[in-house]
Amino acid sequence: MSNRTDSAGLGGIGGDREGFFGRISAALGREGKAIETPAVPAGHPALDERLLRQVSVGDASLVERWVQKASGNSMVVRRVGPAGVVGAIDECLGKHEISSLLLNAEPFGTSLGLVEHLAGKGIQAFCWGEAGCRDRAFTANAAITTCRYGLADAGSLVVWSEVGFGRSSTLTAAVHVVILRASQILADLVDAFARVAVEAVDGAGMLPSNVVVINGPSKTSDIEMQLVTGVHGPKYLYVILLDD
Amino acid sequence: MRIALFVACYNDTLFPETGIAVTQVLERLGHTVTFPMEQTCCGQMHYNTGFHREAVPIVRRFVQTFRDAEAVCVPSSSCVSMMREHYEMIAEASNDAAFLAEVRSLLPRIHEFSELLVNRLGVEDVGATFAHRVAYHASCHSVRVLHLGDVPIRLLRAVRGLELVEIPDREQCCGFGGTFAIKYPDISEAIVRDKVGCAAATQAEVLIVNDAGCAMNIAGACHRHKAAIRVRHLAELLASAIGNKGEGGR
Amino acid sequence: MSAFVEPSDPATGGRARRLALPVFHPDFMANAHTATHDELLHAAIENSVVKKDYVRREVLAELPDADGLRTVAGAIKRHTLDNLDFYLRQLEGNVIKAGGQVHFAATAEEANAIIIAIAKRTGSKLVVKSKSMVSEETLLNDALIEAGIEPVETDLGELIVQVGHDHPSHLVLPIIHLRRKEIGKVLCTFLNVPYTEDPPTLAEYARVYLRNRFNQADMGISGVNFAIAETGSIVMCTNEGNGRMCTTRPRVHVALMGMEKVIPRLADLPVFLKLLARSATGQPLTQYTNIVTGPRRAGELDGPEEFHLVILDNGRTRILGSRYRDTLRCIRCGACLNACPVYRKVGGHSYGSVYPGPIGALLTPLFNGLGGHKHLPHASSLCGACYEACPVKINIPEMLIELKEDMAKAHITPWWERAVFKLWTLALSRSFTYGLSQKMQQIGLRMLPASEGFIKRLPPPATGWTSVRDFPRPPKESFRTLYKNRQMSKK
Repeated sequence: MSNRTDSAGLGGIGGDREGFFGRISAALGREGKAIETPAVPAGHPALDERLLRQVSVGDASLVERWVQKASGNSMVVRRVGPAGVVGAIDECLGKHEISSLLLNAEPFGTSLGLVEHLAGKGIQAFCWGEAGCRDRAFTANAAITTCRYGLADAGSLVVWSEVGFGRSSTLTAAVHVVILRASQILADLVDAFARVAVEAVDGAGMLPSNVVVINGPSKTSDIEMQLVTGVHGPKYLYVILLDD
Repeated sequence: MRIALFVACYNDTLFPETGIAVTQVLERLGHTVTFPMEQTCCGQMHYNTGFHREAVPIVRRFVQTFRDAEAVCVPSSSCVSMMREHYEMIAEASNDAAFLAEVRSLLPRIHEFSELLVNRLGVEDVGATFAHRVAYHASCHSVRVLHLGDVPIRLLRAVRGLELVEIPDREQCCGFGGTFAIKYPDISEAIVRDKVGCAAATQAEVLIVNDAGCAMNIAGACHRHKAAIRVRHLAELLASAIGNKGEGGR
Repeated sequence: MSAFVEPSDPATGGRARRLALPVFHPDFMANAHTATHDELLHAAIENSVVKKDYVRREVLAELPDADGLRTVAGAIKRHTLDNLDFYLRQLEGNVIKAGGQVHFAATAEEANAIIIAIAKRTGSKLVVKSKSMVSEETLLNDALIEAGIEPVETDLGELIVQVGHDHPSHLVLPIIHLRRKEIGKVLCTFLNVPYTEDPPTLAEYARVYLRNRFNQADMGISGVNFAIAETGSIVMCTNEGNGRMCTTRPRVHVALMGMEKVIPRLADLPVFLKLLARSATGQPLTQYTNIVTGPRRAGELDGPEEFHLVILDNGRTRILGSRYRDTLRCIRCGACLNACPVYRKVGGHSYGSVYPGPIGALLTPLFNGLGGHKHLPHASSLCGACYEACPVKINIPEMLIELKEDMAKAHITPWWERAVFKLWTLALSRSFTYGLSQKMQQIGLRMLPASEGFIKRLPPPATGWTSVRDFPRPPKESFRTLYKNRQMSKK
């Protein structure tokens, strides 16, 4: 644990830390021991996966379940083989007026020559990582990204931020096309966090700055409980499911 | 079996027909019913209103009265809930080990009326006849504390000639809540009005309840709103047989 | 004497200068009286809250063992609270390790001051906020405005509340008390656009307006659904994407949390995620579950440069040290509100303060002192629907009874009520007095005018009963009299 205090460089903004912890310790009956860091507590309840897990790794047709659930979440799913990716992209984008598109989908971007292909369709594509991409992301009509996992229990997608993958990529454009490989589909939310803890952490064991579980297009029912799709996040969420 | 009846204070004063019906049903099944005269109340009104110290003598009296009973029958789901949820706690807080031991010994012998019939005596058909259209309101205590499940329904289904209709939102509270109904009449009334509406929607002639609190509240509301449905305790229905049509109730 | 009879300043142990929770509509009885006759409110509640209660049960049934999972969730929360000092220190250490900063606020005022200080130091003039009940608790927006900083609510419901100078009426569904006409009027007037009451159009107006604000904002302030001690992360569950926007565009991210929001491990998170949205809105998950760990990392091109976690006490340690510790398990799902027959009839505003419904009936007196909120623990039929709905198994009815005990002991319950119950105990403790009081009741009640076996008007203090329904007339003979007669006739 770092020796740095929380108020370092903030001119005392941090608040009265010792008083804060002192009150907690007193409330817990540990009066007089406030300054000590308590030992690792025993008694964390055991987590029985049987209560929690809806889909198991060994279950048949994880992919089918993912498709069914994702479609139920208003994701539009197109299942294709490797040769069909570009055609599926064209089909999804073709339903919309797209002028500017953010690409954050390596290696597909390069291997499929997407920038050139989209230019041929009159769509100006720019890549995450190019100069000015952050601001251009905010005004792009569409985005094509990869993702990290699909989760079969609720039909979710998982992404996380890193040097080559932006938070904005899956957030700012009204039309979001995701390329998901069938081999990326995990059984359950339980598995996602177990994998993230291994695959997503950096050298210091820290999680990425932003992990997101996406369950569909952005929506609200605040007004008389009427469902409206496409508020601040994407309104249209297409998933190109690549059988691999 | 010798079954001691704890009739519950509001049944004693307002709905003696419930006590009569329980006695008739159990006697028809071949059991002996006793009524220890020293009984008064289970203490729930006191406890639920925050008068915990004042509830203790009432609880002690109950335990003393029934300590030797082979089985105690209570036609009131709220009373049994009080006993199961709070009697041990109250006895523990009293620092009286003998009292606590008596409570622990007595609790397993206490049964709500319908669970006595079905779970302890193993009887669903008590030989009743009641050829009417009937709906059943499940008291909050019977659902959420006693977890009676479908025990009362099984008893109702065995009644000859009875047409059981499902009431919409059966498990919604009726709005009684003890002193709540007196202190917050606006809110209580708004809740019971829904219950009366649901009951009326079934077009049943009789609404069956298993608690006098619900009975007082719903019957009073039905009468004020001129709803045609009559409110009766489950026991009265089960006591109806050839020669005893059980046409009472309000 | 209960610690909750007088509100006290946690820092000095003395009297509070200000209540811990702001109270907007103090008179519960008057509010409830109006609301129980409000047909429009009930129709809105039928359309929202009641439906959410049904759908909660349906989607929970999809889990292999929802009841078992709720037990585990409650146990994890209880374990965390029992070791809150450890887990908060662990959280702090890991937030710092991830490059974030942690601040500790003893009171609402301190929390606001810390956030204003961060804003001033970072030159933040425009703040976008995603939903945070704790920020309502501290009246953060008012404090920001006073300090010359502009806060903009970005959750659609909270935006309507902000520009309409209103208050949310539900923990999760803030504007269920408003109809589209009212929403249209408020929003279109504020945005200076042509009037509409069409929800998709109104949402589009809000989207365009807020897009602009997201782009220009210096600071994003978010709430926290869960804070994970093991990883130094905060978790935000949203549907609109505004929470993500608030933590992607602006340079500074401030997350404000009640101290009880911490959970031990990343592996605990699915337990709560699988229960939260199901309990709150009937979804398996919200559209976005956003796990934020510190500010952006070196080389990342978006995300905030600074991350600040402000942890708030504001009376929570006092509750932690009391027999009401379990109220701090609350994950603010709103399921208890949806299930509650009282909430459904009086609506959120009647409770008067930031937290409505059954959990609010506990928290408001616990935070502010029992004296000022003496109706809230009593205005319950103790039906137990809240306990049945609670994903972390808070025994709300039992704690309402305990609060009533505290009130009786502190003489907040009126003297005559205490006297009646004491007398009643005497009556119930002896056969003779019981028999006598029973006879008196029978005689007294049978003297009152009645029709068809029902009394129309009871005398005080029971007049409330007959103000709205009839009372069954006691028969001439009680059960015990009939039984005695039967026994005698047998001999």
